[in-house]
Amino acid sequence: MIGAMSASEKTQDLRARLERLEQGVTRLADGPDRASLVEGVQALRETVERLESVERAERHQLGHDLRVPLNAIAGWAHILRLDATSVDTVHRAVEVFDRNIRALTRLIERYTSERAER
Amino acid sequence: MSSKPTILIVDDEEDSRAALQTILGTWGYATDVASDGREALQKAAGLRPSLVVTDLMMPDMDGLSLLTALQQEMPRMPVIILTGRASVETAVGAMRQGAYDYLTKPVDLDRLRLLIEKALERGRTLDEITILRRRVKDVWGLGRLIGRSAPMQEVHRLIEQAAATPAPVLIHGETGTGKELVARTLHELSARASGPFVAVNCAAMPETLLESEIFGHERGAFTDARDRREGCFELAHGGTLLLDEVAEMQPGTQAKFLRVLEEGAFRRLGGKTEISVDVRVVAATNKDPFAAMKDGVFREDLYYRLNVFTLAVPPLRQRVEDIPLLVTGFIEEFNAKYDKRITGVDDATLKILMSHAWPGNVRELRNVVERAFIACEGDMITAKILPGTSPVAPVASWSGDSEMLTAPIGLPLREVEKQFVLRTLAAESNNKTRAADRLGISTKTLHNMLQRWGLLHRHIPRGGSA
Repeated sequence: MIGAMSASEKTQDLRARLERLEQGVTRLADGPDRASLVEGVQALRETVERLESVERAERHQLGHDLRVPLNAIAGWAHILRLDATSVDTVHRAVEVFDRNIRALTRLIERYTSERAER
Repeated sequence: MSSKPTILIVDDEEDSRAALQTILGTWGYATDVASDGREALQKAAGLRPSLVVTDLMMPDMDGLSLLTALQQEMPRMPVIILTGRASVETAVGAMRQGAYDYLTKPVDLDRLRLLIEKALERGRTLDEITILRRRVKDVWGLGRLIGRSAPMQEVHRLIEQAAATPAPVLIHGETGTGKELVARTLHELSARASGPFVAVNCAAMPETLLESEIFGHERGAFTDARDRREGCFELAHGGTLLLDEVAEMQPGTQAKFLRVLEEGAFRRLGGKTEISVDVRVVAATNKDPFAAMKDGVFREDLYYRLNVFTLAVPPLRQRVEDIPLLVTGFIEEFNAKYDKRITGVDDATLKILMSHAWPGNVRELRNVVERAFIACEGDMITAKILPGTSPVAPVASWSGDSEMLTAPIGLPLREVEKQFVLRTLAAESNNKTRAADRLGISTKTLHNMLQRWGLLHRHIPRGGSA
């Protein structure tokens, strides 16, 4: 099942498993192995939190990388709607669309190939 | 010169920057652009834009650093942040640092237009408030310091001059003239206005207690010192400390005080650690500070250290024309305090108030008006309910360009001397040699007199009092 999940779903699944493990350890009676179990769960929690943090940063970066070219495209589309009679404006807008569409395409290609590698 | 508001657009992405510049142009704004925070700071300094719209993530200097720098240079200028990072943390961070608002890319242009209009409107309102404050000042005086007479205008001028500097200020004036209010106004107009204003009366307590009050103490420093206590210097850190009745300070305390003025550091009583503070010191006295120094009451070195800026607050008898304005101000204050609707004082009452000597100055006038206000059952204060303000108007009068000075019998001789000397000096266009010659005294004697009155470097206006 895990193999078909996205990175985000994997992290969520790890978090759910960790919480179940923590509840199990809490219910354990005091014994010689309890301390090392608690330590192990704590280390696991730190790993999951690091993963979540990396994932959050990646999500924000992706959002930023998508929004910046979209902003230029939306801005120039607005300008064209106001006045499409100036040849210079139309040329400039087309250049902006072209450049930013290429940037978006590269970004999608990189993102999909990274996903496939995971 | 264009009357359009100017907006500075800051974005490292050339396509977005150019689009926004074109769009804001179609909305009727003058624009300029910068590709990073540093360039924006340089342009803003010269351009003084009405508003800045900036991207958040930029190389070298980002939007938040730009926001911080702009707030120091132009604190009233609104800044709108645009960003590709749609995280709540960033939005909260930007708003907490004082951004006007925050929009996520791709920008909702209708929302941006509305935000710009609101931000500019807010800027205009702040400007109007500043203008209104200035008008209120023209009508009433400086802040709560009511008065439009020539002597008070001179006080206002000196306060504004002193407020722009961090130098110590020595305020002197008779009891009840409003020295603390002058100090407070000075603080409110200074760069330290957002810091604390702490006042301590040096005449109100014995020496050890005063030292503990000013410098603080460590636990066990003296019998009753059960806990460590911060003194006024520490409490006033980042603000202003007023030491009222400073000439009443014992010589030992004066020496310690002088050390703080010179080194900006002190020790608490019983303490071993040097504490550094950033405090603007204002000292006030009802004594003639020069005479107090000559009498040995006021340390000479402390006098000269404090005498960087001297502010003489005139007694009420030298600004009789301010009395109607002061009375109106007090009645407004008491109407709010006692929830009454008294409209003012009648002409006869005002005449009495304006002819009284007011040895207790503005404080005495305020008390008299308050007592009459409480006793008043109608909507106008009349002479019948005015508490004893009986005698006299021992005020020297000076009429315009006249060469005559009229003084009533009973006016203290030192006041006659002062008024006579100052009017002669004014009549001689502040030329001390000519004035001394006309008065039949040496220039050195005139010099000493002016120094004693704290007026040595003051321009004495013709027709006004010093």
